[in-house]
Formats: sequence, C-alpha cells, structure tokens
Amino acid sequence: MTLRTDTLVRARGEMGVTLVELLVAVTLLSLALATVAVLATAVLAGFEADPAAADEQQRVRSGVNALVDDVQRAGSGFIQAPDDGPGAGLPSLLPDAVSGGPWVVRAVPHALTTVQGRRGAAHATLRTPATAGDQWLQLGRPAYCSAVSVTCGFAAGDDVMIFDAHGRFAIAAIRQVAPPLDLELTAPLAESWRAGASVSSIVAHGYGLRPDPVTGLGQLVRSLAAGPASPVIDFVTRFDIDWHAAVGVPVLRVAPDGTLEDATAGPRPPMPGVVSETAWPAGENCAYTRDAAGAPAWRGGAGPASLGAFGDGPWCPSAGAPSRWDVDLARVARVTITLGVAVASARLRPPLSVLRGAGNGSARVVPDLVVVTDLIPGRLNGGQ
Amino acid sequence: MTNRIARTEHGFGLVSVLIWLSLLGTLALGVALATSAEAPAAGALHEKLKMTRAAESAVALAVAVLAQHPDWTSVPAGAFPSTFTDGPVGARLVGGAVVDLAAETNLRTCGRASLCDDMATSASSPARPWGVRNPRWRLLVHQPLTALDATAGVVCPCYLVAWVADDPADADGDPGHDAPPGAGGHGVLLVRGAAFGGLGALAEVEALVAQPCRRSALPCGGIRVQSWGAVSDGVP
Repeated sequence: MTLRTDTLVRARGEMGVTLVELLVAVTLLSLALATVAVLATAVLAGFEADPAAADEQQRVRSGVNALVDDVQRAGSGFIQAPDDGPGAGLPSLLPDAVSGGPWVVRAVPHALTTVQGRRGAAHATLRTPATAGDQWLQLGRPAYCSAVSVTCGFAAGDDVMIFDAHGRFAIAAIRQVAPPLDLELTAPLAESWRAGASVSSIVAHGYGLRPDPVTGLGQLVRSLAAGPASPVIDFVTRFDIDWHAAVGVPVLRVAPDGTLEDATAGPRPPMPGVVSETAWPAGENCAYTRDAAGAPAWRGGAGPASLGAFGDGPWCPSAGAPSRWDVDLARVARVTITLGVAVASARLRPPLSVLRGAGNGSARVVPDLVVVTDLIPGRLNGGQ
Repeated sequence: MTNRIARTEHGFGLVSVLIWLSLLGTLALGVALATSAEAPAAGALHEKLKMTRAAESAVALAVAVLAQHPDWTSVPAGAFPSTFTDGPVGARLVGGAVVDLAAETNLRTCGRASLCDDMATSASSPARPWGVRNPRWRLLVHQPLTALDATAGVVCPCYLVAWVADDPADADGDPGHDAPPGAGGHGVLLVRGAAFGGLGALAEVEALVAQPCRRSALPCGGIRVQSWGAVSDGVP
C-alpha cells in the first residue's frame, strides 16, 4: 500500500510524457521550426538579392554618371578658335574609338567618343609649318597661354588635337615639351599642317562594349584617346546610342553687310573664290557648297540622323584626307544612351523564360536594370 | 526542490527565442545596412543634377541679358544693366547659409573673399590659369530661382548668380574691355552661372558666348554659345 502510494507520487512528479503529449509537442515544434525556416529562407534570399540589386544600381549609376559628365562637357573648353574646334567646326561626339595616327571615323554601334578641352587647358598655334612625318610641333606662345607652367600647360602624356578652320584634324600624344614651346609627339604626323593651325590639349574619352565570353554579358570600357581601354562597369547587357540631329540643316549666318559669319554647324566655308581644300571648288568646303547665286548651302544630309548616315560621306576635310569624318556628324544635337546592367550573380539573373514573359519560377531573381538618358553635348547645351 | 528546478528550466524557452530573435535581427540589420546607402546615394546624384540645371538657368539668364545688347565693349567693366537682380549687392540667406555676393565675386576673381587687387587677380593658379588675363568677374544676375519660377523654386530653393567677364583669349589684352571690332576675341565673353542651395550646396557652369556677327561691323543680334560646361569641384 505504501509502495503503491510512493509509485503514484513519483508518477505524478517525475513521469515523462504520454504518446499523445509527445505527438502534440513534436507537431507544435515542427510548425514553429517550419515557420522559422520559411522566414529564414526568405531573409537569406533577401540578404543575397538586395545587396546584389543595390550593387546593380550602383554600377549603372556609376556608368551613367561618367557618360553624363563626358557628353555634357563635349565641345567645351576651346577658348582658342572656338568656331573651328570640336562642338562647332568639328564634331565633339563621334561613333568610333579614337585611333592613333590617321583616323577615318567609322560608324560603329555601341561606341562613343567625346572630346573636350578642360577649363584652362593648353592652347597654342603652330608657329612653323609641320610636314607629314614630322614628330615635332613648334608652337607660338599665345598671350593667354596658361601662366601656371612654363610649358603653357602642355605636358608629356597629354593628348592634343591639331585642327584648322576647314574640318581637318589629328589627335596625337605628347612625348615631351621642349623650350621655347616645342612638342615632341609619340608618333609622326600623318599629314602636313600649315603655320597657324590650332593645337589644343584635349580629353578624348572613348566608350565601348567589350564582350565577356565567360558571362555572355559585356563590360563598359573607356579609353583615353588611343590608349588602352579600362573597365568602367561589368555585367552590361546593353550599351546603345541613338543619334539625333538638330531640326533643319545647318546654315551660314550672313551679316547685314554681306559678311559671312558663323556656321551653325560644321566648318565655315572659305570666301568666294578662295580655295581651302583642293578637293573642293573655290568658296566651298566639305560642309558647304554654293548655289547658282553663290549662297552657301549645306552639303550633307537633311533627314533624321542615324548611325548609317555617319559613314557614307561627304567627308571632311575631304575623302582623301588621312583623318576624316562624315560631315553629318556636325548635325548631331543630342544622343540617347541606353545602359542596361545585370546582377553579378548568375543565379539571381532572371532566366530567359522570365524575360520572354513565360513565368518566373519560384526562385528570387533581380531583373536587369535599364536606364535611358537623353544628353545634349556641352557645346549645344546653351543652344545656338 | 522540484519547484525550484522547474522554475530554473522555464527560462530555456525564453533563451531560445532570444537566440532566434538575435539571429534574425542580425540578418535583417545586415540587409538593411547593405541597402540603406542606396537611397542617399541616389538622392545625392539627383541633387547634383538639380543644382547643375539651376546653375545652367543662371547662365541662360545672363545670356538672355547679353543678347539684348549689341555693344559689349564695356560689359567686362561692369557697366551693364540687368533686370534679373533682387536688389543691391550684399549678403543673402539661402537655406540657412549666408551667401555674400561681393565675397563670392572676389573668390572667383582672385581666390579670396576680401577685395581683389591687381596682383591677386593676376596670380596664376589651376582655377585662374591665364595670369593677367584672368577673368575680372562682374555680377550680372542675382536672384532666387523662385522669383523666376515659383514651381521650380519649390523643387530647388536655389539662389542663382551669374557673372560676366572678358574672354581670356581676347586679343586686346585688356580684361576690362572687350576687344574692338576687327581684333581677335571681339564680341566674345565668358559667363559663369552658379546655383547656391541649402547647407552650402553649390553648382557652377561656365560658358563662352559670342555675338553671331562679330566679324562684320554691323551686329545682327542674337547670341551664340561657343562652349558650355560644368566647372569641376575644387576649381572655383
């Protein structure tokens, strides 16, 4: 009797659980753990996807920022002969990568070169003619030459543009600067230049899309003039440039006394009877012909701009020049840049079925980010 | 004794919950930290673009003023009327910060807030590399953006300022006057626009503008922008 009492007491105080209690406990615990697991899975997925999305946005912003800065400054900074330089007499946006030596500007998809002169950049003119094959440029020191340095602001390693009033240009790199103000170039000149031609220190940034066979995506790269390309952003899905021309064709302003003034675009033609390029009749150049009455008229195309129109001429300064560009590039007033990027992790990229609208599966994915930006080159930001 | 043990073991549930909460909280905090920088970064880019557009507006106003006047000879000397001003030159309160127009003009002309002399103005620096031909900036526009456009003024409560100066390449060598007709650089001026925002925010744009018919003796009106670009940070 006593034993039975003890057993009962122990059973009440120390006995384990019944099968039903165990099942209930296990079920409840399983529910709780399942809930936690579901939440944790979502959090872990977010932990991977959200930083990836943030990184994607960061990269696209970095790329757009670089492009905006360069396009909006294109054509600016040329205080010397501004009517002849990039943005006016020469194009400041080009659909090709800069080529060392002779450069025939091609119409290349997914390529964009911007040309600008930095504020306070070095400018000078040739004090003696330079002939093809020369590697030295002898410059005259202009009164407004930068007084910051004895070299007038020119420095070894800088890129310079040599240009004249008729659409002729060349891009070269400086090897050294010697007194009084002579520039040794890294490569011989491809053509001859008259005394008085402008020489300006420039920044030419060339953008392009470099395919990455490993990821199947691309890399936006940027080169300084004809230098090697450096990556700007990775995992690029799109880098497209749409070219837009100004409304109407360029014209030449004529003053009330009949004097030919500035051209709204392209190099200004010579006065009637004057030959600027042997390839063109007197009073004409690559950009302007003359009608029966002798009035200047635009030589290039008149319709909407397209990439295809930038590789078929008329060529400036002439079709036979070592470095030449399609005159229709002078009409470019705006570019629309489309930049698309994907996340770095291939697992987080949407499968093609999603891109095609055939369902998105169950995995969490980060869609590609596509930014479309309309940009006006610096020279034209303030209008004409 | 049994009661004491039971009380002690009751805490296990709480501890496990706290551990789980800590783990989940750490994960959430990590995600939040990784993504929280995105909004301010995007906002900063937007703010920069907004301020730059406002600075461009200041240049556009100055260009509009200059376009109405055929004779620019005395413009670099400051003898030029402008309709886009909000009173005498002095200090303005912009978003809690004081913008002293005279001091800002001096800063850009000679690199210091106090009055400029010839030596300071002609001193060469990366921001003013042209020596004796450095721009002698003159105020042409100074007024809040909201005075021009109330809606735009709400989006950007900026104060617009524009200065004008002779272009450094002017052939006459006199930064106080535009070159005479026939001389190189005749009819060409340098314009700088600035937008001052709250908390000292600042954006600046510089443009080289020209009279379209500067080669002939007869001006034909209008204006031509030769160059237009944002002025880099650190180059006042």
